[in-house]
Amino acid sequence: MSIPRGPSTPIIPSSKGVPQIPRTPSSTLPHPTAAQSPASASSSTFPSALNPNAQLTNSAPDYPPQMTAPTTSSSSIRKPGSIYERNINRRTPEVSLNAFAFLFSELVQYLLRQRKEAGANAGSLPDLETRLNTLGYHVGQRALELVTIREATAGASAKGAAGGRRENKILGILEFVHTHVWKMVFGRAADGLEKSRDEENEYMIIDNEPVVSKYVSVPRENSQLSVAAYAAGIIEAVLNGAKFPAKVSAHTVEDEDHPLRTVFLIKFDQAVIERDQKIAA
Amino acid sequence: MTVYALYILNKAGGLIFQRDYGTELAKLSSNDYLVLAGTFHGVHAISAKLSPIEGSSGIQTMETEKYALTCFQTVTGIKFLLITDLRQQFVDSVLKRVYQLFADYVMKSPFYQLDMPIRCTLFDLHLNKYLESVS
Repeated sequence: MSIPRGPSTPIIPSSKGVPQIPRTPSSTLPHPTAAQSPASASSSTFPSALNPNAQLTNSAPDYPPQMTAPTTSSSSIRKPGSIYERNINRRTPEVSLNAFAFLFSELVQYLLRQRKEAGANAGSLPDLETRLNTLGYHVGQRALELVTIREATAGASAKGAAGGRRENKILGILEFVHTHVWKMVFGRAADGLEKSRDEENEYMIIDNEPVVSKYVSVPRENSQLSVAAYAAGIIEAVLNGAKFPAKVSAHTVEDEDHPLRTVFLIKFDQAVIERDQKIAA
Repeated sequence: MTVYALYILNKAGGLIFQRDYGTELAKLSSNDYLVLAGTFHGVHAISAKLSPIEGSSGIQTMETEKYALTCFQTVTGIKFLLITDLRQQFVDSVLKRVYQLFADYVMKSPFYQLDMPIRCTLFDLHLNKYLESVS
């Protein structure tokens, strides 16, 4: 896999917010790799590791790490009802970062063990990235539904009108992923959004410290591997679900202050680019 | 307080991590470090057995003319040995923090195998940053 090195122009400079755009939900596509190989088909039965209803809390990086009490919207004590009875706009359901880190660590170890049992060559790991991507895809499919319906209802209540707009431009959908999806899944917006100057259909979302790889030290002999492929799968599902078919891959491109800085390289299908040009014309 | 060295021993007394901080320390061969760790593990076990009262913890600190060694044993049997100068204020909190970094950046890394030598770049990075800030 090639690491993006070419020059790029920032679309959203780091740490700058984007205005909220309400949207309507749209359908999701099946993962392109799910139907191809029996290996990935079997892994698709793996239960989705992340509840798309929850966001990871990243708010307490200081020590000592304390377990945050689960937050509930109601102050009075009552029986937890069905998930369908809860308010869809509850914005801050928090999940322990530690619990997620251990679960994700086990997930990677499970995939590594599966590989070893299959007798795969331990030197190359693109297969592991594909599997992480597939697992993330299942999260992304659900995340898109939830985030769009939340944006739509929040827009409706805020403006007193039937909110909801469907994004049909590349820039719009990328900003949507960069801010809204990121905020719901990872608790904060991504750190940058750039367009490749070499390739017309390549865009990059940059995260200085992805939540999924916060505690993961990849051994030197496998330095090509990026466990953020899981997050790349989430993005891929969101883009495919919004009818912007694309391939997303994660690459660790460290800089001085951020050893975990990760670039998510998004390659749109040529049809998407052509459609975008038609809309602009 | 100056931190001279940090050793981490697994529950069987094997050395899984060793770093020297500061230049004044004499370098030993890697085998010598393993022997040193194993010996301390044995002495620690003996000292716990020698206690007239049952359930004693074993060696916690050891002082010499030039340095002090502080041992912190976790409930799972992992030992953190910190070699410092004799002004050992905050040494307990330093060890607690090292334990926290270990729990975060070693135990949560899917590529770390239990009881094996620690090769985690993020652990090294955060440990160095922290120990630089205290000394």
